Amino acid sequence: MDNTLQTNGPLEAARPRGAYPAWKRLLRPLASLRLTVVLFVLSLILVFYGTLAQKEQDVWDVVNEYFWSWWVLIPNKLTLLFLQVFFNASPDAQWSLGFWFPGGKLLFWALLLNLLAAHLVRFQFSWARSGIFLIHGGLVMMMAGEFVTREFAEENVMTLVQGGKASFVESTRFNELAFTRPRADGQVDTVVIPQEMLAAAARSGEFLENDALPCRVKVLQYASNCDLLEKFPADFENPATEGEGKTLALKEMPPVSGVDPEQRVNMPGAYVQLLDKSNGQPVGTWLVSTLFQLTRPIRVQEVKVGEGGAWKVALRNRRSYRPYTITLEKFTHDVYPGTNTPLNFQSDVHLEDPALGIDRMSVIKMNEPMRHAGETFYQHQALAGDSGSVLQVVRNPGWTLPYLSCAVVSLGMLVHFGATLMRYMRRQA
Amino acid sequence: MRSIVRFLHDCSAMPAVALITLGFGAGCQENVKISAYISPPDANLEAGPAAEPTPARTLAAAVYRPDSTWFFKMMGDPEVVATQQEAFNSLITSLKPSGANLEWKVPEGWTETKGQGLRFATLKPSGANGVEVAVNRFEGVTGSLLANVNRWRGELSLEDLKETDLPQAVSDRKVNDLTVHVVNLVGKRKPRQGMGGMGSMPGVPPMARNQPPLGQPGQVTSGAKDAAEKLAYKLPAGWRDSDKKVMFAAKVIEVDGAPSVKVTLSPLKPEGNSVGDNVNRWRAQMSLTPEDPATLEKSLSRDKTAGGEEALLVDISGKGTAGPQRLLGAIVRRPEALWFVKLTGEPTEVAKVRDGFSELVRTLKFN
Repeated sequence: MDNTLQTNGPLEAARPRGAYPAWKRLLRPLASLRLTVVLFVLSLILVFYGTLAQKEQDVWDVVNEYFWSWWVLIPNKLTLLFLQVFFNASPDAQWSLGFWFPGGKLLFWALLLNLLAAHLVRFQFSWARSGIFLIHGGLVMMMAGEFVTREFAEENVMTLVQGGKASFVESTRFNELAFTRPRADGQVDTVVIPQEMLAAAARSGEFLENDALPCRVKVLQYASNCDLLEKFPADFENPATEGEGKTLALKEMPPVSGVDPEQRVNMPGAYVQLLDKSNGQPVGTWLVSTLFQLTRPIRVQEVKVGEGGAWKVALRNRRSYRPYTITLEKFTHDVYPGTNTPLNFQSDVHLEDPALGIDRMSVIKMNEPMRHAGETFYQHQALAGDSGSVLQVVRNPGWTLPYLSCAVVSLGMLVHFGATLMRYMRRQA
Repeated sequence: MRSIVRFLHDCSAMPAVALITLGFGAGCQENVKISAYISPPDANLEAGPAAEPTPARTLAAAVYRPDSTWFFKMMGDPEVVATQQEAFNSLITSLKPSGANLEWKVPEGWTETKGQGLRFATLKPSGANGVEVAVNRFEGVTGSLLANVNRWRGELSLEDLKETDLPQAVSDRKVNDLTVHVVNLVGKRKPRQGMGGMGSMPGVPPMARNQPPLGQPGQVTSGAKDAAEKLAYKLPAGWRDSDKKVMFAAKVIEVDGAPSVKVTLSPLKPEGNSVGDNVNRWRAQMSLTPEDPATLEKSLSRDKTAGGEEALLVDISGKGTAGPQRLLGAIVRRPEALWFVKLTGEPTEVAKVRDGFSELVRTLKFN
């Protein structure tokens, strides 16, 4: 009896149990084509609700909550929202609660294992089926590409004023509470607390402590998106005792929606109480927000804690320092005549990277980025009054994978349908 | 041989599963902790210039010709502009007609480059940092002189002038059969809006963060653009759709036998665009003084479109830059836009096509 699997379809139930190794029998349910269909349907539903969720949530929150999670609690109000927009459901209706649904990570793994199990159990390599293998290989490569992009790609910005230089990039999604103090050698001592820890500390009420920190930190309130009010609301009890918070009030705002027409980003803010490390006594409470980083010059708040001079405290975009320095020599902003509509933005920059022996001028403008050290620098924004330029700095080691995977899938389809056509023509001959 | 290949294939998938599992597991670990490091000084941002309006001066000239409007404008730092004022004057006095265009003599030491789009040419003096003369040519009559002077004033944060103030603000020069209207303005240049893209970013004053971005007054909304495709009307005999482009106009119509007559159908943003203000805008184009917007709106006669919408009718005569002009207008309020049907031309020709205009308005339908 020939035990070779010659079919692309499900294993026939009539096959004797002894015909397959035990591990193949174990994998058989995982290789089910029905499972593939179910997983695809679940994926479609997840994408549908993930898209709806962007109506009210930040796009990155949706990505994390829906697509890079094992499970997601989908609120029923999303279904209601859909019915209201497309089927005239009552605008006054309110649906609470929600339902748990497999997240993107779970579906991804299930699909990947299903595909690999299918190859182990059901498919047999032959030149006639090499197209199918190529198509599936391309799909796996595409999934791997998403993984590489997710884990290793970085999107940051570099803000440069006219004539200014910078050797760090800033995240637009992540923030940090930074304590900085100039050193005698001209450098800066820096201690940073990531936003995740600030948000967690605000929820738990616990102190943030670390040997490197100049003080203990208690986060009284953390808002992932906020606005600053120059006029205090009537019932507002100001927690701030020092700095900008004495004249400005923090107003918590809903997170920026993923479909925000102005594509704004969240601007977090917090009230932080700083305590002396030696005696635990409060030094004061400060209002901090990334909004203070938007002014030129940026608003600096000083904190006199510990020894060795005053520290500056700021909630700022998370920084990553680079071994190179970029100087903005000239920024050009042309507009269409008689309008404020941008025609051209151009940054003439001076790039210095001593480690690589690079010292050169470069022009960055729309659709003409600069590339250096694995990063691509795009012209992104102009500072108000054309006082400077914002460059988008992108590093994505997996940027070729989507192209490669598409090429492999295309080749696979060509081979598969070409082989099918050849077989058909041979039969007709 | 086939068995070996099959065996290798089966085995190869197993380590792939293990490796990818490990890889994903490792990749999902977030490294969130307090960290300390020594960084370079941050002189770039802390010492950056404030985003305040900067002093600026504009030397500009407008030339209205029967078929085109020309603007020559130099704007920049007042001290730099002052060094180029004499050259600018020599440029203006060298203007002369050349068929449908203008000719000029490039001042000594200056260079001229051909422009793109609406920019006809760019003239640059040597050594004047950032200052240039932009030469723009527009088809037809582009706004009244008052509207253009106020546009230039607005760029320098100066208040709008009234029609009666114009003679003091504008110096009219006769140059080679041309009338050149020259202005000299000093003010503060407004900061320009950023490129947009990722929302509020460094440089935007904090309290302005949640404000909508600056828009172009009267700019077509995207919804109105869509609506333009669904706009239907019946053209009277002798009227035809034109392929000419007019800024902000969704449709342009011309009339046989009335070459001076031009009809445009334009959707403008419904927000912040009152009917009275727009009638005043048209009055300014006819060199008429503005009136109270609310009173103006009440005084307009009404008609109905084929779609049942109310059309507010305007009929004003005045003096355009190319001579006596008459303007027939109809304004239709729609949820997605205010629609403006505007007919302009020489009074005698407009009188001939007036019935056709009424007929056109009555056939308007917004699907």
